[in-house]
Amino acid sequence: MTTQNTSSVSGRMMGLSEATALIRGGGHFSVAGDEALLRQLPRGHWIGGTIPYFMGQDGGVTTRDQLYVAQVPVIDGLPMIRFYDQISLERVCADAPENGFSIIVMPAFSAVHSLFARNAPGYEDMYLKPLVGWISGIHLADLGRASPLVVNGETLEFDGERALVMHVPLPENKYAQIDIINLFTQGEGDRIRFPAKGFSATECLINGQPGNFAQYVSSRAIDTKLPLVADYSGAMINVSIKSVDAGKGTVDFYAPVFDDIEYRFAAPVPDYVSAFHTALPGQTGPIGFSCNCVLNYLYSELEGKRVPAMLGPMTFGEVAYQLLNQTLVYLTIEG
Amino acid sequence: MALDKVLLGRLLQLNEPWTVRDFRFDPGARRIDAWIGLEVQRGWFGLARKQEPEAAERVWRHIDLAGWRCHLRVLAPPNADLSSLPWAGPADMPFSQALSKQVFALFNEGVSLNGICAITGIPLQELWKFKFALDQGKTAIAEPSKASAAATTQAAADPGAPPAVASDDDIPDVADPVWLQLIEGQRDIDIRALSLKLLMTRLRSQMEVITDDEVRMLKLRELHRYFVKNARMLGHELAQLRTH
Repeated sequence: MTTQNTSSVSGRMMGLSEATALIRGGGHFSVAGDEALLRQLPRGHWIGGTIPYFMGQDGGVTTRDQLYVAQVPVIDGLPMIRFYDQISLERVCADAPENGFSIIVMPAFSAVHSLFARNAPGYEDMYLKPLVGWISGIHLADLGRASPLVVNGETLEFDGERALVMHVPLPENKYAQIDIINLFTQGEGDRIRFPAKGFSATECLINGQPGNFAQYVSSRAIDTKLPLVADYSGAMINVSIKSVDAGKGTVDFYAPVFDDIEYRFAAPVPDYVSAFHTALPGQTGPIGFSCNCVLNYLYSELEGKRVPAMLGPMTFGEVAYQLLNQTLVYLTIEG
Repeated sequence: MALDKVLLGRLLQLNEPWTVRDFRFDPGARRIDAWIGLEVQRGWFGLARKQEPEAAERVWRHIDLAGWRCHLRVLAPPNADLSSLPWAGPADMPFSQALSKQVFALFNEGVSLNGICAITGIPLQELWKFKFALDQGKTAIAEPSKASAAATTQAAADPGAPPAVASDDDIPDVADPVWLQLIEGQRDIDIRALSLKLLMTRLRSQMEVITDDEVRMLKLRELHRYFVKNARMLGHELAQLRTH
């Protein structure tokens, strides 16, 4: 096990005045915070999204009074910030620099969020160019009253329907690498397949036998805090359960299930923090971006607990090329 | 006008019993729409014979004619086999087979979707639909006569094939059988790079449903291109390929 010190982390929690001074001082930033604070930030080279949940330098915290600000590593060439709507979203990787990386922020529950979740694996240049990012959200107490937003700091435009992307070029002697820390692995339970991709499912195959997924989950009293886990050539990719309606026979997910891969419910993780420390990577280059899932924050009760090596917003979905759930995502600069 | 229909039919390489029934030029949009159907068979004394019923009109974008966008509107009997006709296409696809081949050739040359749109004037949405169908194994490019041979294997073994250019000393040539073994899951390597884990899973899943040889070859080139572009972070994976 190797622990990183926080000096290798690009961002931290700070107050409005400090964030304002940083932005005015130049540089490019990725910002996360409550909408009211984001609206007070000055124009500058930053992209942001709404969220009140964080893993900060002092531990997990829910706050509307602080922002998480991470400096984006700009080494050679200026980044480009632009919005993508439902039509242009499929160009997001194709538009990325030949050598560099892109940070994407999408508003939760928006059409671009749904579209990206379902179709990103087929986008042109997907997996060839590093794409990392997160889904902006709201305080759970504000559900129905507020909307997740993204904000372009260069224009101070707030948007609840479009994705916002910062494309960052790198010099030839550097390259970006994306990785994840997922504490969940496939359990020993049944093998589950779905007939179609989507954010909800009724029918499924359980060990090859047709069945109703909601009835299956209910009858087995499966802990729905545990995600479905698929094995992508050794990468464990989660799909978290949003709700189970046994009456209607429907299960809703926070990310889509796909029809060409097999899932199993995850094995339980008794102690998230110690498991996380065990799972931390060895020596890496400087961390250019990281975020984690609000479900890990809530289910593992991370408020007040310190996970110092990987700070960032606790989000409504993580992007490491494609949309993930209950997973820590980070980007490093290597070379 | 009758002569124009005949001329247009020849330009479109229609053979009997197919004919151009009507056409419309739109000079503003530089677009031709041609209605194609079976010739009305004439019986004795010039009386038209009873025609077979026709299915609903199907529309395919075809190769441009002298810079004019060409859309073919085909009325064919419900059970007509159009699979060998270059000016027709699959029922749920936007392009004729001839145009599909042209687009596929551009894919193979590594032209981006935007580049293909610029060259052909095809809207991005239609091109995206075509690419999606390729990825899902829902459309084919290889001619039926060629389909029996495994193109991917041929590419590796055919001595008559043009020599493949090694893109990097460390990366096996695209014609090396190792790529086919990898993408078909006959060979496993320990993968550390997240992007390769995700890509490999997607490609293997696609290869299970893609039967068309040329589309399979396209997928193989996609994997090779990934390795060329990301060679710097794939030392662990490439070391395993070199020892095969």
